Amino acid sequence: MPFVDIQSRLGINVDRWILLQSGEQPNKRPARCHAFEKEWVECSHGIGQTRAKKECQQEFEDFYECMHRQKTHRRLYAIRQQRDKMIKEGTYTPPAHHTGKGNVDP
Amino acid sequence: MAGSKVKQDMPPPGGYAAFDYKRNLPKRGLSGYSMFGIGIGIMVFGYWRLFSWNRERRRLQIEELEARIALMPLLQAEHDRRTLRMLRENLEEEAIIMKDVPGWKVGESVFHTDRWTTPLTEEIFNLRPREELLHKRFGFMWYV
Repeated sequence: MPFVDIQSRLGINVDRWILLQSGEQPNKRPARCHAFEKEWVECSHGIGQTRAKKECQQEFEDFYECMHRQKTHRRLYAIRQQRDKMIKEGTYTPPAHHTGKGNVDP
Repeated sequence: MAGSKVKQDMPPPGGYAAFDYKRNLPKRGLSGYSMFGIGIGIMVFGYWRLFSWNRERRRLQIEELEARIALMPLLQAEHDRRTLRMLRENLEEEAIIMKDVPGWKVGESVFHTDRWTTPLTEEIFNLRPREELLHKRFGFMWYV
C-alpha cells in the first residue's frame, strides 16, 4: 500500500537496502556516484515528486551525468576532434608526453 | 594283433615320479584390515600435512595483506600526484587547442557542484595514444 509505509511502521528494513546505490553495501564499498545520489535523495526527500522535479533539477542532472557521463564524453570528443583538425592543418604539435615518447614518471 | 611286438609309447618302468597336483594358494601378504589401516594412515598423514601447510599459508597471506595496508598511503599518494599532474597537462593542452573555438570555457566542469569528482580514465588519458588508455584499463587483471 503506497500511503502506508509498513516497513517504517514496523521498524524493519527488509528490502529497502536494494533500492539505492547509497544503501548498505557489502564490504562497505561505496558506489561511484554515491555522493551525487545522496545529494539528490536528501534534496528531494519528503517534498513529493512534482516539487522534486523542479527543485532538485541540478542534483538530478549531476547524478545522471555521473552515471552516464554523456556530457563528459561529448566534451572529450570535441577536444579530440579539434586537436586532430589542428594537427591536420599543421597548427598544433602535441607535446612529447602526449605522443607516447615522453618520459613516463609516476 | 595278438603277440606282435609293436613299439608303443609307454610309461617308463616304475612309473612316473610323483608331482604335486593339489591347489597351492598360500596365505601371504597383509590382511585386508591392515591394508585399510595403512591406507587410512597415509590419508590422515596427508590431511595433517595439508592442514598445517594451509595454516602456514594463511599466516603468509595475512602478512601480505598487512604489507599492502602499510604501503597503501604511499601508493595512493603517488597515484594521486600522477592523476593531478596528468589532469594539469590536459588542462594546459586544452587551453592551447580550444582557444579558437567560440564559446568554449577551458576547464569547465560538467557538474553543477564544485566538489572534487574522481576523473574517469578516459578523461586522464584523453590526449594520449589509445594504447596507454587500453593498457591502463586492461593491462593488468586480477583474474582472467
